[in-house]
Amino acid sequence: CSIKPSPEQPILSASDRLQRLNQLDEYQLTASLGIRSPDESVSGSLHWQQQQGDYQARMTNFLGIRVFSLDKADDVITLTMQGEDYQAANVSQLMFALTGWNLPVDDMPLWLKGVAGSNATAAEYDHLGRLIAFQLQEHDGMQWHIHYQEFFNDTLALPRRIEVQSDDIRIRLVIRNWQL
Amino acid sequence: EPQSEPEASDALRQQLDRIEHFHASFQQQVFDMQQELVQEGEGELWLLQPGKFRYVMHTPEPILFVGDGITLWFYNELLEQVTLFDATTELQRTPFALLMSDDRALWQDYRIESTGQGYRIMALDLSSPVQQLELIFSGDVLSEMQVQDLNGQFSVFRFDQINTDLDAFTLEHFQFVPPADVDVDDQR
Repeated sequence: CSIKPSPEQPILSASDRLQRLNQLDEYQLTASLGIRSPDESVSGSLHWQQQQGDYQARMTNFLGIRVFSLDKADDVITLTMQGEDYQAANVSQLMFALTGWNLPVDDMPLWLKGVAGSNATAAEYDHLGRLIAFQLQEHDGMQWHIHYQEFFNDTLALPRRIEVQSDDIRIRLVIRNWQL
Repeated sequence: EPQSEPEASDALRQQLDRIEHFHASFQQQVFDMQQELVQEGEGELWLLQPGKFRYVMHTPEPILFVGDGITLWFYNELLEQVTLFDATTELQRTPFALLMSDDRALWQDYRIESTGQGYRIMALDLSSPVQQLELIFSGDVLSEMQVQDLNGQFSVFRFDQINTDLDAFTLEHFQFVPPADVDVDDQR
């Protein structure tokens, strides 16, 4: 089914919701993604397709130009950027080296769906018990702050607006629809 | 370095000079390297000599991209963010500004060939995000533009011309005043 903002529905208890989010490992989403760094600002549509531990992600700008694609298959992540394919132990670091900006890729399949992984600290929750912010340290040591500004108002309350920030990189995601 | 066929670049120059002003709705389709359709969109485009353009995308997401020849404003409504660019330094990344530019020198960065229905414009800089542009005309009217990137992904814009007279193309049409609560990211 495709989830778009829909009328108020009973929300799951916090623990039931968290359990369902943790079990959710097959989903697709389309989002508007904006990445701002001191020397460059890029934006476009992100399409993310998750199947168990693997994912395919593509960012395309308004002209139809591919900004990057990320494919994870059996623990190998391939980054395609600027016309080249790369395989690296640390994709976030490689992205930064290539462009001066990056995303916290390691835990992205988790934070996209509003779940903090084992690298998360300082978790904050709202009155409904939903995770609304946490700190994240990636393998490359980069510190990120993740903040959920809005959720879809349906039973699962998946994230709709996410702000991700490190020292001088600010990422804004507005998820246009989820498909489970 | 292969040089453009001199006649092709002159012919393209004259063809573009004949586009005094242009207004059209467009359908956009994006195909990846395996020719899979990965994105569709639609919107409206205004062009005005010299150097002015207004690009309004309705789907897949609301985008407004305008340029008055000096400044470019890229407004992403959902992200509540507008990015300002200096027109001269951003021309390479913005085919619409390139088409309307009167800076002849700019064309030296491209190799131009005439095709049966129009022109193929290839970036000499092999790291340029826009690697190739193909323009298709029916008569003097721009009917299609194809943009190909470094990865071989390409985007096709099909234009339906709208007859709009010149006085509808006011300067404010090619400028943007950001709403109060929008983040302004000035990259100039």
